Amino acid sequence: MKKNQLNAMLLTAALSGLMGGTAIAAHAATQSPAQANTARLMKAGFRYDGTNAATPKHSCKGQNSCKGQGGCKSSDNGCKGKNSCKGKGGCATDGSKMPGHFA
Amino acid sequence: MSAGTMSLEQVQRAMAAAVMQPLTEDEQMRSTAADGRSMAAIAESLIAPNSRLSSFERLEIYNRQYWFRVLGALAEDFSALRAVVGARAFEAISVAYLTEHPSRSFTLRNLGSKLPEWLAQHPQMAGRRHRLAVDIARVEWAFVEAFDGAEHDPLTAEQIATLDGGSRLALQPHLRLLALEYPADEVVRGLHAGEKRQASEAGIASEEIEEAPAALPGIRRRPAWVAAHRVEHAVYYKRLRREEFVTLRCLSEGKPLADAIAAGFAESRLNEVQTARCLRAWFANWAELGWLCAPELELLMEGM
Amino acid sequence: MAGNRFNAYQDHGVGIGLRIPHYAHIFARKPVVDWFEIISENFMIDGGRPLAMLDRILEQYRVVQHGVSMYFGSVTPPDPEHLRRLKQLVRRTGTPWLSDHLCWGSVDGTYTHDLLPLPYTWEAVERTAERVRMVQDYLEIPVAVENVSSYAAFTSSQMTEWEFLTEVVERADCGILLDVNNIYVSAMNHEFDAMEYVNAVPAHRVAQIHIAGHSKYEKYILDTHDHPVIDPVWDLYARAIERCGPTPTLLEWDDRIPSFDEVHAEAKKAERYLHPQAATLTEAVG
Repeated sequence: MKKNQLNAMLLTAALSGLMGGTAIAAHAATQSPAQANTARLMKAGFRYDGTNAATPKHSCKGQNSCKGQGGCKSSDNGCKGKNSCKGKGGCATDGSKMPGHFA
Repeated sequence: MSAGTMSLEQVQRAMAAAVMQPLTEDEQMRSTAADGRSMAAIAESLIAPNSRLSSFERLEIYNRQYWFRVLGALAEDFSALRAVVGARAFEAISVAYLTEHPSRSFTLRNLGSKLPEWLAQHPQMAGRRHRLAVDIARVEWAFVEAFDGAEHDPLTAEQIATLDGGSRLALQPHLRLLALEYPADEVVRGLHAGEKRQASEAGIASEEIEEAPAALPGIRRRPAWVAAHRVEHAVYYKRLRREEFVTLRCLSEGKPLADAIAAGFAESRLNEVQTARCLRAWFANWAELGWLCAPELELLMEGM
Repeated sequence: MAGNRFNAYQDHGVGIGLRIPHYAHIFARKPVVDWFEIISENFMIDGGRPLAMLDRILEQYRVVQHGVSMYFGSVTPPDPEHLRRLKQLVRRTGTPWLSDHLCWGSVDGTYTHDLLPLPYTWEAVERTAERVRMVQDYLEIPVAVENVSSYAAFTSSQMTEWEFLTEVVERADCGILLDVNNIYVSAMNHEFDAMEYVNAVPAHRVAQIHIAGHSKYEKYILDTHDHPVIDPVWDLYARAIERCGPTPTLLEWDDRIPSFDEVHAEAKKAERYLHPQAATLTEAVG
């Protein structure tokens, strides 16, 4: 088969696939969302929900809190044990000293 | 110079430099700045003490919170990388990366955008798992981009009817194509599932477990081509054949349709019939998933 | 609630911050909530689930935008992309007013992602007011600036924080988002009288009030938004309402977030101060 003929054949295959897939998608759009999604999801691959990437990066805790997005590193075992968030630096370890300090 | 004689711009530059300076090993503010000046003197020139805290201690609050915040944000987006290299190495990677690439965006969402590329250029940071670590970072960053990337209208039947070999197409903006040396998509999914299981069994937050590098039995270098994309607001990793990947990548680079197909199969061992069958099936799948779109106007103009 | 020009004369009542752990409850139960406040930056994206969820909320509820990265006090001009995305979101939400903080956080294009305090100087007054004006003109809706919690004070400050706030808002002709919890936190950290601050604020400019909880540590207080509102903060709130009249009020709860009902119930306590007669009547009947 000549190169031009080959290219034409492959292009035809691609375009017919493209047209066919688009027709399937258009048909699915007329079905119930559940039916439509089932067909697409079978071709989508493996779902991955991430760990925390789907959580918002911004909160409004003055961005200075000592937990979560604004605070202690997770390796600090929730602010306990290490010194990273204690005393002058931040999180209470058990809160026992803290309440009423200023009251 | 004291803050009284500094302009607002000078104050902000001085404070930003202090706040963004890496912490000591035990997570305190360093005693000297990068230029050798005393941090206590810098703090005193900027910050007034109160009855409980010195200038140094008050500035240190912001220094520590800066690092806790950015390290936390990076750890959220690259939890599998953290598991693969271990918590200690991940922290060293994060500090070195953020020192070289502090945030240049109003949103923390973009904080890790350069990490995969940076890690590829710093093999010493990830030890013997370096290539795997780079692949993991790329897979995890692709998730972030697929999660909230734009979604354009896919090609319509009317648009498809006008296409020929010289047509240029665009890919869905949330679609990310990855050529990997390791099956890192499987590793990421496996680690995530394991983390969730462990966390739920132990009744603790997933980030509180596994400080040492995770065991990865049977992980072997084996090329994988992956598309990270979004369907109905959820992110999926779809395995591709190499030919499929190359064709899509060429389309995303703006190559004409016929050229993209030719490039995709240039090194293929498939015969003509198999190639035609693959193309028909792949283009049908891509259309069903809404991956192919009309290119932006600029690209069209460029091709004219 | 009469409102004022800084909150577009809106009668918004008591709202809570929209947080992901509450989505399931909100969509399933459709609770009656006066309004939700969103963190703008979490929705200044191109697509995906966050925007889809926001659109569902917008179908049923009033939403007001609150930002954390405009940095009105930063010397470096704002990123045009940031402004463009913010305006796009303003159009989507139809927020009647918008707020962000009286602070700085970026310099020369590098971001700390923190709400850093400003030196209270005349130079800072001028630069900050100019930026607020510019943002307000660009967005074409009223802008309110929020006082932040702070842990450090500058040696170069030439005035008190409330004098600085007043100077900025007068020159910018903008509103105030008065965070009474932040006043309390800063008062403890800087050893000033919180009530003096509340009494000094130009009441006619207060567009909105924030209430929240915080955490006390050995030598200072952190603005953690992970506790109920404490009584001394309610006292500041009561005084603010006395001075400003009924004002849209928002409870922030950002960490260790309890159930929707618990957060909402905590927010609704504000109604005791907003509508004292109704509250007394309810107590008498109930």
